[in-house]
Amino acid sequence: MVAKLGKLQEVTVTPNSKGMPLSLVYKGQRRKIASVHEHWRIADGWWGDEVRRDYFRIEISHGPVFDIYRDRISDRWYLTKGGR
Amino acid sequence: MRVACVLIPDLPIQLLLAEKPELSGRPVVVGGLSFEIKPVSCASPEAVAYGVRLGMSIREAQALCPDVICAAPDERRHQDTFEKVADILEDFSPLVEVNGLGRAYMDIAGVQMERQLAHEVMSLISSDIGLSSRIGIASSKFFSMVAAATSRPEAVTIVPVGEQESFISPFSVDFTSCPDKVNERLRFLGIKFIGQLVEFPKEALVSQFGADGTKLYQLSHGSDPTPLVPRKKTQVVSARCELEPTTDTWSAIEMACRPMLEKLMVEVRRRGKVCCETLVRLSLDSGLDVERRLPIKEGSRSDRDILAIIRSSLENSALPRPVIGIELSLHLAKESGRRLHLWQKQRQPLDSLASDLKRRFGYQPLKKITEIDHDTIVPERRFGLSDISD
Repeated sequence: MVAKLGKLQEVTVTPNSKGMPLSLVYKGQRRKIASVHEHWRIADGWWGDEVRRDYFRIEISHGPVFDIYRDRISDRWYLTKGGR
Repeated sequence: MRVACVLIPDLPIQLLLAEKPELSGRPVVVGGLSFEIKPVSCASPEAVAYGVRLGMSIREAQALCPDVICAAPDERRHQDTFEKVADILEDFSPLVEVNGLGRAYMDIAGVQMERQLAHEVMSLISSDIGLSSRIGIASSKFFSMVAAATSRPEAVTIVPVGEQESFISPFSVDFTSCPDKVNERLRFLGIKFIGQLVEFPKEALVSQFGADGTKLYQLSHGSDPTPLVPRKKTQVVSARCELEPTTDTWSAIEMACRPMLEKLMVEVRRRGKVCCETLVRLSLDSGLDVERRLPIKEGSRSDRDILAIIRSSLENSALPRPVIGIELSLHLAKESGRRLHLWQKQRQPLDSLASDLKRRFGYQPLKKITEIDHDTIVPERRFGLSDISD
Protein backbone atom coordinates (compact mmCIF):
# COMPACT_ATOMS: atom_id res chain seq x y z
CA MET A 1 0.00 0.00 0.00
CA VAL A 2 1.30 3.44 -0.91
CA ALA A 3 0.69 6.39 1.42
CA LYS A 4 1.05 10.08 0.62
CA LEU A 5 4.53 11.45 0.93
CA GLY A 6 3.62 13.89 3.72
CA LYS A 7 1.37 16.78 4.40
CA LEU A 8 2.29 20.16 3.04
CA GLN A 9 2.67 22.84 5.65
CA GLU A 10 1.31 26.28 4.96
CA VAL A 11 3.73 29.05 5.86
CA THR A 12 3.67 32.82 6.01
CA VAL A 13 6.05 34.27 3.49
CA THR A 14 6.73 37.91 2.71
CA PRO A 15 7.58 38.31 -0.97
CA ASN A 16 8.98 41.36 -2.71
CA SER A 17 7.20 43.18 -5.55
CA LYS A 18 8.50 40.63 -8.06
CA GLY A 19 7.20 37.69 -6.06
CA MET A 20 10.59 36.55 -4.71
CA PRO A 21 10.42 35.46 -1.05
CA LEU A 22 12.21 37.77 1.40
CA SER A 23 11.34 36.23 4.77
CA LEU A 24 9.23 33.45 6.25
CA VAL A 25 7.88 32.48 9.63
CA TYR A 26 9.71 29.36 10.74
CA LYS A 27 9.12 27.74 14.14
CA GLY A 28 7.19 30.80 15.26
CA GLN A 29 9.93 33.25 14.32
CA ARG A 30 10.24 35.50 11.31
CA ARG A 31 13.46 34.50 9.56
CA LYS A 32 15.21 36.32 6.77
CA ILE A 33 15.83 34.35 3.59
CA ALA A 34 19.58 34.46 3.06
CA SER A 35 19.53 33.23 -0.52
CA VAL A 36 17.35 31.69 -3.18
CA HIS A 37 19.31 28.83 -4.73
CA GLU A 38 16.84 27.84 -7.42
CA HIS A 39 13.52 28.97 -8.76
CA TRP A 40 11.27 26.91 -11.01
CA ARG A 41 7.67 26.83 -12.07
CA ILE A 42 5.35 23.87 -12.59
CA ALA A 43 1.91 23.66 -14.19
CA ASP A 44 -0.03 20.42 -14.42
CA GLY A 45 -3.49 18.94 -14.45
CA TRP A 46 -5.16 21.74 -16.39
CA TRP A 47 -7.78 19.24 -17.55
CA GLY A 48 -8.98 18.59 -13.99
CA ASP A 49 -7.25 19.18 -10.70
CA GLU A 50 -5.10 22.04 -11.86
CA VAL A 51 -1.76 22.81 -10.23
CA ARG A 52 0.21 26.02 -10.87
CA ARG A 53 3.13 26.65 -8.56
CA ASP A 54 6.28 28.72 -8.26
CA TYR A 55 8.92 26.76 -6.39
CA PHE A 56 11.88 28.31 -4.59
CA ARG A 57 14.79 26.48 -3.02
CA ILE A 58 15.68 28.87 -0.21
CA GLU A 59 18.19 29.07 2.58
CA ILE A 60 17.12 30.91 5.70
CA SER A 61 19.79 32.79 7.63
CA HIS A 62 21.52 30.44 10.13
CA GLY A 63 19.09 27.71 9.13
CA PRO A 64 18.45 24.88 6.71
CA VAL A 65 17.62 24.83 3.01
CA PHE A 66 13.95 24.37 2.13
CA ASP A 67 11.81 24.03 -0.92
CA ILE A 68 8.82 26.36 -0.64
CA TYR A 69 6.23 27.13 -3.24
CA ARG A 70 3.55 29.70 -3.93
CA ASP A 71 0.29 28.22 -5.13
CA ARG A 72 -0.55 30.57 -7.97
CA ILE A 73 -4.24 29.65 -7.83
CA SER A 74 -4.83 30.25 -4.10
CA ASP A 75 -1.86 32.64 -3.66
CA ARG A 76 -0.77 30.74 -0.57
CA TRP A 77 2.72 29.63 0.38
CA TYR A 78 3.66 26.09 1.40
CA LEU A 79 6.71 24.48 2.83
CA THR A 80 7.46 21.09 1.29
CA LYS A 81 8.46 18.27 3.59
CA GLY A 82 11.74 18.63 5.45
CA GLY A 83 14.78 20.89 5.46
CA ARG A 84 17.99 19.81 3.81
CA MET B 1 68.21 22.55 -16.52
CA ARG B 2 68.35 22.18 -20.29
CA VAL B 3 65.12 21.61 -22.15
CA ALA B 4 64.47 20.59 -25.74
CA CYS B 5 61.14 21.53 -27.26
CA VAL B 6 60.05 19.30 -30.13
CA LEU B 7 57.43 20.83 -32.39
CA ILE B 8 55.57 19.01 -35.13
CA PRO B 9 54.16 21.94 -37.08
CA ASP B 10 50.68 21.40 -38.53
CA LEU B 11 50.57 17.75 -37.51
CA PRO B 12 47.03 17.10 -38.85
CA ILE B 13 47.99 18.62 -42.22
CA GLN B 14 51.21 16.58 -42.36
CA LEU B 15 49.25 13.37 -41.70
CA LEU B 16 46.64 14.28 -44.30
CA LEU B 17 49.27 14.98 -46.94
CA ALA B 18 51.05 11.71 -46.14
CA GLU B 19 47.78 9.91 -46.77
CA LYS B 20 46.81 11.95 -49.85
CA PRO B 21 49.98 13.23 -51.52
CA GLU B 22 47.92 14.67 -54.38
CA LEU B 23 46.83 17.48 -52.01
CA SER B 24 50.39 18.70 -51.64
CA GLY B 25 50.75 22.36 -52.66
CA ARG B 26 47.02 23.02 -52.40
CA PRO B 27 45.28 25.06 -49.69
CA VAL B 28 44.01 22.64 -47.05
CA VAL B 29 42.29 23.21 -43.72
CA VAL B 30 41.47 20.69 -41.00
CA GLY B 31 38.55 21.34 -38.68
CA GLY B 32 35.43 20.17 -40.42
CA LEU B 33 33.88 19.29 -43.75
CA SER B 34 32.85 22.06 -46.12
CA PHE B 35 29.19 22.02 -45.04
CA GLU B 36 29.93 22.00 -41.31
CA ILE B 37 29.90 25.04 -39.03
CA LYS B 38 33.16 24.33 -37.28
CA PRO B 39 36.36 26.27 -36.63
CA VAL B 40 39.60 25.77 -38.52
CA SER B 41 41.97 23.89 -36.22
CA CYS B 42 44.89 23.62 -38.63
CA ALA B 43 45.71 25.25 -41.97
CA SER B 44 48.37 24.53 -44.57
CA PRO B 45 50.82 27.35 -45.46
CA GLU B 46 49.03 27.67 -48.83
CA ALA B 47 45.72 28.33 -47.03
CA VAL B 48 47.41 30.75 -44.61
CA ALA B 49 48.68 32.69 -47.63
CA TYR B 50 45.03 33.37 -48.54
CA GLY B 51 44.44 34.86 -45.10
CA VAL B 52 42.97 31.76 -43.46
CA ARG B 53 43.60 31.83 -39.70
CA LEU B 54 43.09 29.27 -36.95
CA GLY B 55 39.79 29.64 -35.13
CA MET B 56 37.87 31.19 -38.02
CA SER B 57 34.93 29.17 -39.28
CA ILE B 58 35.22 26.81 -42.25
CA ARG B 59 32.75 29.06 -44.10
CA GLU B 60 34.99 32.09 -43.58
CA ALA B 61 37.97 30.08 -44.83
CA GLN B 62 35.97 29.12 -47.93
CA ALA B 63 35.05 32.75 -48.50
CA LEU B 64 38.72 33.76 -48.40
CA CYS B 65 39.88 30.83 -50.47
CA PRO B 66 37.14 29.19 -52.58
CA ASP B 67 39.42 26.30 -53.63
CA VAL B 68 40.29 25.33 -50.07
CA ILE B 69 40.06 21.62 -49.29
CA CYS B 70 38.33 20.94 -45.98
CA ALA B 71 39.01 17.82 -43.95
CA ALA B 72 37.43 16.59 -40.74
CA PRO B 73 39.87 16.18 -37.84
CA ASP B 74 40.72 12.64 -36.81
CA GLU B 75 41.66 13.56 -33.26
CA ARG B 76 42.26 10.01 -32.10
CA ARG B 77 44.68 9.35 -34.94
CA HIS B 78 46.46 12.65 -34.34
CA GLN B 79 46.85 11.85 -30.64
CA ASP B 80 48.04 8.30 -31.32
CA THR B 81 50.60 9.55 -33.81
CA PHE B 82 51.91 12.13 -31.39
CA GLU B 83 52.10 9.47 -28.66
CA LYS B 84 54.47 7.61 -30.98
CA VAL B 85 56.59 10.76 -31.24
CA ALA B 86 56.64 10.97 -27.43
CA ASP B 87 57.71 7.30 -27.29
CA ILE B 88 60.69 8.18 -29.47
CA LEU B 89 61.59 11.08 -27.17
CA GLU B 90 61.47 8.74 -24.17
CA ASP B 91 64.27 6.74 -25.74
CA PHE B 92 66.44 9.86 -25.34
CA SER B 93 65.25 11.31 -22.04
CA PRO B 94 63.63 9.94 -18.86
CA LEU B 95 61.50 13.09 -18.47
CA VAL B 96 59.19 13.94 -21.36
CA GLU B 97 56.21 16.28 -21.19
CA VAL B 98 53.49 16.22 -23.83
CA ASN B 99 52.10 19.74 -23.99
CA GLY B 100 49.20 19.67 -26.42
CA LEU B 101 49.09 18.20 -29.88
CA GLY B 102 52.38 18.60 -31.72
CA ARG B 103 54.43 19.99 -28.83
CA ALA B 104 56.59 18.07 -26.38
CA TYR B 105 59.42 18.96 -24.04
CA MET B 106 62.23 16.75 -22.86
CA ASP B 107 64.80 17.22 -20.16
CA ILE B 108 68.26 16.99 -21.70
CA ALA B 109 70.29 18.16 -18.69
CA GLY B 110 73.83 16.85 -18.87
CA VAL B 111 73.84 16.19 -22.62
CA GLN B 112 77.12 17.40 -24.11
CA MET B 113 76.27 17.34 -27.82
CA GLU B 114 72.86 18.93 -27.92
CA ARG B 115 72.80 19.64 -31.64
CA GLN B 116 73.72 16.07 -32.52
CA LEU B 117 71.01 14.72 -30.21
CA ALA B 118 68.41 17.03 -31.76
CA HIS B 119 69.31 15.92 -35.29
CA GLU B 120 69.10 12.29 -34.23
CA VAL B 121 65.63 12.86 -32.76
CA MET B 122 64.45 14.67 -35.89
CA SER B 123 65.74 12.00 -38.24
CA LEU B 124 64.05 9.26 -36.16
CA ILE B 125 60.72 11.13 -36.17
CA SER B 126 61.05 11.56 -39.92
CA SER B 127 62.06 7.96 -40.70
CA ASP B 128 59.76 6.13 -38.23
CA ILE B 129 56.64 8.28 -38.39
CA GLY B 130 57.16 10.35 -41.53
CA LEU B 131 56.70 13.73 -39.85
CA SER B 132 58.76 16.87 -40.18
CA SER B 133 59.77 18.47 -36.88
CA ARG B 134 61.65 21.43 -35.39
CA ILE B 135 63.63 21.51 -32.20
CA GLY B 136 64.55 24.37 -29.89
CA ILE B 137 66.93 23.98 -26.98
CA ALA B 138 67.22 26.40 -24.06
CA SER B 139 67.44 26.44 -20.28
CA SER B 140 63.68 26.53 -19.70
CA LYS B 141 60.45 25.57 -21.41
CA PHE B 142 59.28 28.92 -22.75
CA PHE B 143 62.57 29.81 -24.43
CA SER B 144 62.96 26.35 -25.96
CA MET B 145 59.42 26.67 -27.34
CA VAL B 146 60.13 30.06 -28.93
CA ALA B 147 63.40 28.70 -30.32
CA ALA B 148 61.58 25.74 -31.89
CA ALA B 149 58.68 27.82 -33.20
CA THR B 150 60.98 30.29 -34.91
CA SER B 151 63.44 27.82 -36.40
CA ARG B 152 63.23 26.55 -39.96
CA PRO B 153 61.67 23.11 -40.68
CA GLU B 154 64.02 20.23 -39.83
CA ALA B 155 66.36 22.71 -38.12
CA VAL B 156 67.62 23.12 -34.56
CA THR B 157 67.92 26.41 -32.68
CA ILE B 158 70.03 26.38 -29.56
CA VAL B 159 69.92 29.17 -26.98
CA PRO B 160 73.20 29.00 -25.02
CA VAL B 161 73.10 29.08 -21.22
CA GLY B 162 72.78 32.66 -19.91
CA GLU B 163 71.68 34.12 -23.24
CA GLN B 164 67.94 33.73 -22.89
CA GLU B 165 67.30 37.40 -22.19
CA SER B 166 69.14 38.62 -25.30
CA PHE B 167 67.58 35.79 -27.36
CA ILE B 168 63.99 36.63 -26.44
CA SER B 169 64.38 40.39 -26.69
CA PRO B 170 63.44 40.87 -30.41
CA PHE B 171 60.40 38.56 -30.33
CA SER B 172 56.81 39.77 -30.29
CA VAL B 173 54.87 39.92 -27.01
CA ASP B 174 52.36 37.56 -28.65
CA PHE B 175 54.72 34.68 -27.81
CA THR B 176 54.13 35.19 -24.09
CA SER B 177 50.72 33.47 -24.38
CA CYS B 178 49.14 36.09 -22.12
CA PRO B 179 45.40 36.73 -22.61
CA ASP B 180 44.45 38.82 -25.65
CA LYS B 181 43.45 41.71 -23.39
CA VAL B 182 46.99 41.90 -21.98
CA ASN B 183 48.53 41.84 -25.46
CA GLU B 184 46.12 44.53 -26.65
CA ARG B 185 47.02 46.71 -23.69
CA LEU B 186 50.72 46.17 -24.27
CA ARG B 187 50.29 47.35 -27.86
CA PHE B 188 48.25 50.30 -26.67
CA LEU B 189 51.20 51.23 -24.45
CA GLY B 190 53.52 50.95 -27.46
CA ILE B 191 55.14 47.69 -26.33
CA LYS B 192 55.54 45.30 -29.25
CA PHE B 193 58.63 43.33 -28.35
CA ILE B 194 59.49 41.37 -25.23
CA GLY B 195 62.78 43.28 -24.97
CA GLN B 196 60.89 46.53 -24.32
CA LEU B 197 59.53 45.10 -21.08
CA VAL B 198 62.99 45.03 -19.49
CA GLU B 199 62.77 48.79 -18.92
CA PHE B 200 59.90 48.41 -16.45
CA PRO B 201 60.27 47.44 -12.79
CA LYS B 202 58.36 44.37 -11.66
CA GLU B 203 55.94 46.44 -9.51
CA ALA B 204 54.89 48.52 -12.53
CA LEU B 205 54.09 45.42 -14.60
CA VAL B 206 52.25 43.76 -11.71
CA SER B 207 50.16 46.87 -11.08
CA GLN B 208 49.18 46.97 -14.76
CA PHE B 209 48.65 43.26 -15.49
CA GLY B 210 48.39 41.43 -12.14
CA ALA B 211 49.74 37.87 -12.25
CA ASP B 212 50.49 38.24 -15.96
CA GLY B 213 52.77 41.16 -15.04
CA THR B 214 54.98 38.85 -12.98
CA LYS B 215 55.12 36.43 -15.89
CA LEU B 216 56.03 39.19 -18.35
CA TYR B 217 58.77 40.46 -16.02
CA GLN B 218 60.27 36.98 -15.64
CA LEU B 219 60.15 36.16 -19.34
CA SER B 220 61.66 39.50 -20.38
CA HIS B 221 64.53 38.83 -17.95
CA GLY B 222 65.19 35.40 -19.42
CA SER B 223 63.61 33.39 -16.64
CA ASP B 224 60.80 30.83 -16.79
CA PRO B 225 60.29 28.77 -13.64
CA THR B 226 57.63 26.48 -15.17
CA PRO B 227 58.63 22.89 -14.36
CA LEU B 228 58.47 19.94 -16.73
CA VAL B 229 55.48 17.74 -16.01
CA PRO B 230 56.19 14.07 -16.77
CA ARG B 231 54.00 12.49 -19.38
CA LYS B 232 51.31 10.12 -18.21
CA LYS B 233 51.62 7.00 -20.26
CA THR B 234 48.57 4.89 -20.96
CA GLN B 235 49.03 1.28 -20.03
CA VAL B 236 47.68 -1.12 -22.62
CA VAL B 237 47.37 -4.90 -22.63
CA SER B 238 46.51 -6.56 -25.88
CA ALA B 239 46.03 -9.95 -27.45
CA ARG B 240 45.47 -11.18 -30.97
CA CYS B 241 44.05 -14.33 -32.49
CA GLU B 242 43.74 -15.56 -36.06
CA LEU B 243 40.46 -17.10 -37.17
CA GLU B 244 40.61 -20.35 -39.07
CA PRO B 245 38.30 -20.64 -40.98
CA THR B 246 37.37 -17.01 -41.52
CA THR B 247 34.01 -15.86 -40.21
CA ASP B 248 31.43 -13.20 -40.87
CA THR B 249 29.18 -13.77 -37.86
CA TRP B 250 29.29 -11.81 -34.61
CA SER B 251 28.67 -14.93 -32.51
CA ALA B 252 31.90 -16.51 -33.82
CA ILE B 253 33.80 -13.28 -33.15
CA GLU B 254 32.40 -13.15 -29.63
CA MET B 255 33.44 -16.77 -29.08
CA ALA B 256 36.97 -15.88 -30.13
CA CYS B 257 37.02 -12.76 -27.92
CA ARG B 258 35.96 -14.59 -24.77
CA PRO B 259 39.18 -16.56 -24.01
CA MET B 260 41.31 -13.56 -25.04
CA LEU B 261 39.42 -11.30 -22.64
CA GLU B 262 39.64 -13.82 -19.79
CA LYS B 263 43.40 -13.93 -20.23
CA LEU B 264 43.74 -10.15 -20.50
CA MET B 265 41.61 -9.49 -17.45
CA VAL B 266 43.89 -11.71 -15.34
CA GLU B 267 46.70 -9.32 -16.27
CA VAL B 268 44.50 -6.25 -15.59
CA ARG B 269 43.66 -7.55 -12.11
CA ARG B 270 47.30 -8.46 -11.46
CA ARG B 271 48.29 -4.86 -12.17
CA GLY B 272 45.55 -3.56 -9.85
CA LYS B 273 43.97 -1.48 -12.61
CA VAL B 274 40.63 -1.28 -14.36
CA CYS B 275 39.92 -1.27 -18.08
CA CYS B 276 38.72 2.18 -19.18
CA GLU B 277 38.65 1.63 -22.93
CA THR B 278 38.57 -1.36 -25.25
CA LEU B 279 39.88 -1.28 -28.78
CA VAL B 280 38.59 -4.02 -31.07
CA ARG B 281 40.46 -4.35 -34.35
CA LEU B 282 39.16 -6.79 -36.93
CA SER B 283 41.41 -7.82 -39.82
CA LEU B 284 39.35 -8.46 -42.91
CA ASP B 285 40.27 -10.89 -45.68
CA SER B 286 40.58 -7.92 -48.05
CA GLY B 287 43.68 -6.83 -46.10
CA LEU B 288 41.93 -3.89 -44.47
CA ASP B 289 41.50 -3.40 -40.72
CA VAL B 290 38.31 -2.20 -39.08
CA GLU B 291 38.58 -0.85 -35.56
CA ARG B 292 36.17 0.35 -32.92
CA ARG B 293 36.99 2.11 -29.66
CA LEU B 294 34.62 1.40 -26.81
CA PRO B 295 35.03 3.64 -23.77
CA ILE B 296 33.98 2.13 -20.44
CA LYS B 297 32.60 4.88 -18.22
CA GLU B 298 33.52 3.69 -14.75
CA GLY B 299 36.23 1.26 -15.69
CA SER B 300 35.75 -2.47 -15.26
CA ARG B 301 37.60 -5.58 -14.14
CA SER B 302 34.92 -7.96 -15.31
CA ASP B 303 35.47 -9.79 -18.58
CA ARG B 304 31.76 -10.50 -18.74
CA ASP B 305 30.90 -6.77 -18.59
CA ILE B 306 33.44 -5.88 -21.27
CA LEU B 307 32.24 -8.69 -23.50
CA ALA B 308 28.67 -7.38 -23.11
CA ILE B 309 29.83 -3.89 -24.13
CA ILE B 310 31.64 -5.30 -27.18
CA ARG B 311 28.59 -7.36 -28.11
CA SER B 312 26.08 -4.54 -27.73
CA SER B 313 28.13 -2.09 -29.74
CA LEU B 314 29.11 -4.41 -32.57
CA GLU B 315 26.30 -6.87 -33.10
CA ASN B 316 24.10 -4.45 -35.03
CA SER B 317 26.75 -3.29 -37.47
CA ALA B 318 27.32 -5.18 -40.69
CA LEU B 319 30.64 -6.83 -41.44
CA PRO B 320 31.85 -5.73 -44.87
CA ARG B 321 34.08 -8.80 -45.42
CA PRO B 322 34.91 -12.05 -43.60
CA VAL B 323 37.20 -11.59 -40.61
CA ILE B 324 40.56 -13.36 -40.50
CA GLY B 325 41.91 -11.99 -37.22
CA ILE B 326 40.88 -10.13 -34.05
CA GLU B 327 42.98 -7.90 -31.87
CA LEU B 328 41.78 -6.72 -28.48
CA SER B 329 43.56 -3.90 -26.65
CA LEU B 330 42.50 -2.83 -23.19
CA HIS B 331 43.52 0.62 -22.00
CA LEU B 332 44.12 0.58 -18.28
CA ALA B 333 43.52 3.25 -15.66
CA LYS B 334 43.57 3.60 -11.92
CA GLU B 335 40.29 2.72 -10.29
CA SER B 336 38.56 5.87 -9.08
CA GLY B 337 35.07 7.14 -8.43
CA ARG B 338 33.35 3.83 -8.74
CA ARG B 339 29.58 4.00 -8.38
CA LEU B 340 28.25 1.37 -5.97
CA HIS B 341 24.76 -0.04 -6.00
CA LEU B 342 22.81 1.35 -3.10
CA TRP B 343 20.92 -1.81 -2.25
CA GLN B 344 23.37 -4.53 -3.17
CA LYS B 345 25.02 -4.81 0.23
CA GLN B 346 22.55 -2.83 2.36
CA ARG B 347 19.44 -4.76 1.45
CA GLN B 348 19.96 -7.72 3.78
CA PRO B 349 20.57 -5.74 7.03
CA LEU B 350 17.76 -3.36 6.06
CA ASP B 351 15.32 -6.25 5.66
CA SER B 352 16.21 -7.69 9.04
CA LEU B 353 16.01 -4.23 10.63
CA ALA B 354 12.55 -3.73 9.08
CA SER B 355 11.25 -7.04 10.48
CA ASP B 356 12.71 -6.22 13.94
CA LEU B 357 10.96 -2.85 13.94
CA LYS B 358 7.68 -4.39 12.82
CA ARG B 359 7.90 -6.97 15.63
CA ARG B 360 8.60 -4.23 18.15
CA PHE B 361 5.98 -1.67 17.13
CA GLY B 362 3.36 -3.91 15.59
CA TYR B 363 3.43 -1.98 12.33
CA GLN B 364 6.08 -1.14 9.79
CA PRO B 365 7.52 2.33 10.52
CA LEU B 366 10.23 2.08 7.87
CA LYS B 367 9.06 3.37 4.50
CA LYS B 368 10.57 3.87 1.13
CA ILE B 369 9.76 6.45 -1.51
CA THR B 370 7.90 4.91 -4.42
CA GLU B 371 6.91 6.44 -7.71
CA ILE B 372 3.12 6.45 -8.00
CA ASP B 373 2.51 8.42 -11.17
CA HIS B 374 5.38 8.79 -13.57
CA ASP B 375 3.56 11.31 -15.77
CA THR B 376 2.91 14.07 -13.26
CA ILE B 377 5.38 16.75 -12.24
CA VAL B 378 3.63 17.54 -8.95
CA PRO B 379 5.93 16.01 -6.33
CA GLU B 380 3.29 14.77 -3.88
CA ARG B 381 1.26 13.19 -6.69
CA ARG B 382 4.29 11.55 -8.26
CA PHE B 383 5.87 9.97 -5.18
CA GLY B 384 4.45 8.17 -2.19
CA LEU B 385 5.64 6.10 0.77
CA SER B 386 5.36 2.33 0.82
CA ASP B 387 6.52 -0.39 3.19
CA ILE B 388 10.19 -1.21 2.89
CA SER B 389 9.38 -4.89 2.36
CA ASP B 390 7.10 -4.21 -0.66
